[in-house]
Amino acid sequence: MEITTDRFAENIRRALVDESLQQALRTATTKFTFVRHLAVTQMPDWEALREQAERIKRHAIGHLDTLLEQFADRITALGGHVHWAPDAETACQIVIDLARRHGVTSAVKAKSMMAEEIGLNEALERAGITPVETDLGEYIIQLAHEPPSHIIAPAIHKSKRQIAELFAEKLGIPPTDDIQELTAAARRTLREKFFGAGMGITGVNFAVAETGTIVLVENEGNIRFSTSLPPIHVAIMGIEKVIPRFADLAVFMRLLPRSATGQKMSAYVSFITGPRKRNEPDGPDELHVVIVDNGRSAMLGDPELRRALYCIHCGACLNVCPVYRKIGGHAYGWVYSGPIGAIVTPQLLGLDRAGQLPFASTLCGACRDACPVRIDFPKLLLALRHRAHRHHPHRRNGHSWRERLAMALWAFTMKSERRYRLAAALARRLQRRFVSNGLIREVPFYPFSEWTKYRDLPALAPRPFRAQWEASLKEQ
Amino acid sequence: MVDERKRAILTSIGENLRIQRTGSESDREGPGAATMPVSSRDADQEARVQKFAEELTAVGARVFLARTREGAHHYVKEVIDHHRARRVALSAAPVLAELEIEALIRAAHGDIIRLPRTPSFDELKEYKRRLMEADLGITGAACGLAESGTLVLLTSETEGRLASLLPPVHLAVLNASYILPGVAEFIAETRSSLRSSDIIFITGPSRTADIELTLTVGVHGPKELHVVVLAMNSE
Repeated sequence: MEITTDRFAENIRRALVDESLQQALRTATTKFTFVRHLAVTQMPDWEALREQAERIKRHAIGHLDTLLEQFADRITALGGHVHWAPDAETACQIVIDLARRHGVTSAVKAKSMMAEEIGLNEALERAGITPVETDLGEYIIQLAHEPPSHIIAPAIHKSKRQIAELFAEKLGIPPTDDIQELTAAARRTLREKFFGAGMGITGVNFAVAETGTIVLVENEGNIRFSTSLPPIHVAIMGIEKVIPRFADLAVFMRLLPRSATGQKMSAYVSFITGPRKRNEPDGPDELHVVIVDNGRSAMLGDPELRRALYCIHCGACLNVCPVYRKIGGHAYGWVYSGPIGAIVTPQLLGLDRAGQLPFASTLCGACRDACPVRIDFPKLLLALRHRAHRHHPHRRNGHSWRERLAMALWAFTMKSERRYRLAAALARRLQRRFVSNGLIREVPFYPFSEWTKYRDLPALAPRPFRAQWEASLKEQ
Repeated sequence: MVDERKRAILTSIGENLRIQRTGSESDREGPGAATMPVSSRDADQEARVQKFAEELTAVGARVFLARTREGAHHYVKEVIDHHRARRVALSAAPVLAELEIEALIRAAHGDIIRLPRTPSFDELKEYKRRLMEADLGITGAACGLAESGTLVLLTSETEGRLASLLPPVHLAVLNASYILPGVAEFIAETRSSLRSSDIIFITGPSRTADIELTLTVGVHGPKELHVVVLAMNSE
């Protein structure tokens, strides 16, 4: 996909005026937040589970090298094949080579963020292999040639009318507003694709080092089709997907569906341990696991920032984020959006290309509270802002000398009680001519003009809190 | 070549991890206890079966609690008749043989699509093609999970991946005594016996909300899920 992280501001402006997108975002994020809240409040040991999940992830990321090796050895022992891809290009080439070796001309794909990240569809197409997205939402946006806008609901930005038009054009069905019928049309078309495909490509939710088990979570059944029907199953995973023990799944199986969709369990979960066993009646003859680094191992160097790799892709942080709820997924300019995108994308693409993303946050911490693996988003966002700042000392993130001077003055004032009191008294006097109804609507000079350009500034109270407090103590 | 790439990735991971090892040691500590405390198995089984049925019904499946063999037969026959199922995929699960489901299908003049045994490439292809035309798939289930209303199928000689997936209607027969409290208990018990290439957890019919967040069932997998819970020796 085209990366537009460097045009972040432009993307945001476009999203804010897109009324149908705004409507879709409102509905989707409100609904997801609500169902998640219901599911979570029904779990008395939710906090304990999160704590456990964080601990497991911290251990897993801290032992990534040994766990990956163990996982790879298990896969091999089970009769599967492991491929290592340091970067996106190699990962795509591995899949293409596999397809060519087996004479595969079309492959069915189940939703995989990693496949998006490495640009697998485009690479397969260039190699003359047709990739077919099979998750309904992904299928819709593939037909429309658009990237996904939400981890869980990739096509939430499209209305049923738009989808009806799309299906009428591409699938040749009579236009209909009936969602049931639209879904049925996709089912019919995709069934044929599943049967014709020589290869099924999926992502991986969890990879268990101890047993070589790959876990896949879904609702539609397209992942089960992709892993069961074609003769070859290719699973693509980032290095961070590995967890140490089979028993750890007990924690994640209870956290993931509730966080993602508010379900106690997703409609289908598959624990895949190797290709079809000799005595089993069906399933793929070959299992290939592609382990992709693509910049992740470099993230491990910083003990703070590496925590972004704990993410289990539930999407909960997106739904609660006041910024995501207004600008949607596409604005973030790449595969990962919302708070998780703001901390992962700059690390994977570099601050030169995505350095603005960590600034798109109010630091309210709703994402941290929703995160099932307790990623401390505000802390990571601040760390990245700091890095971005250091990264561009000349630009100071576009801050002018005036801003730096103002900040220095502010810091100087706030560092002493006397200076603070003096400044406050002065400000209380000077603000008078700008205040109306307790608000300052416009100040014509810097730095306040920068603030009042977009919003009102609450006026200082006529009597400071401290004075009121002291007075009330005397009265008693 | 492959080994080179493997070494490159593992070396990069190792080196980056070492950068901070002097700083905080916390990331090298153990992963902690693996599971939450597992509830005892002899907790009220009857209540567990109720919870299982309740949860599974809530996600759109139909659950029938069979107290007698005749009751189970009657329900299965009803599903066959209701869907006018002429082609029925039947797994080789012992519980189905024991219930003599096959005779039931034959009595309804249905064709049976059997699991292939160590099929060749072409035999497997033929099986898939026939499954595509099946009206109904009947399978066993290794166990149920009460907490979430989940069926667990283990692939084996007698249970495949596809009979529960391709037909538009899936009917599973489950022994009530195999209903566990939840996924944590299941995982604790299976840990060491991973003999299946696929452990399939099914919680309701195939569903999607990808178009305007409107729930729609049967997008890829079965549109209907029926579960017959055998609770015949409960008294």
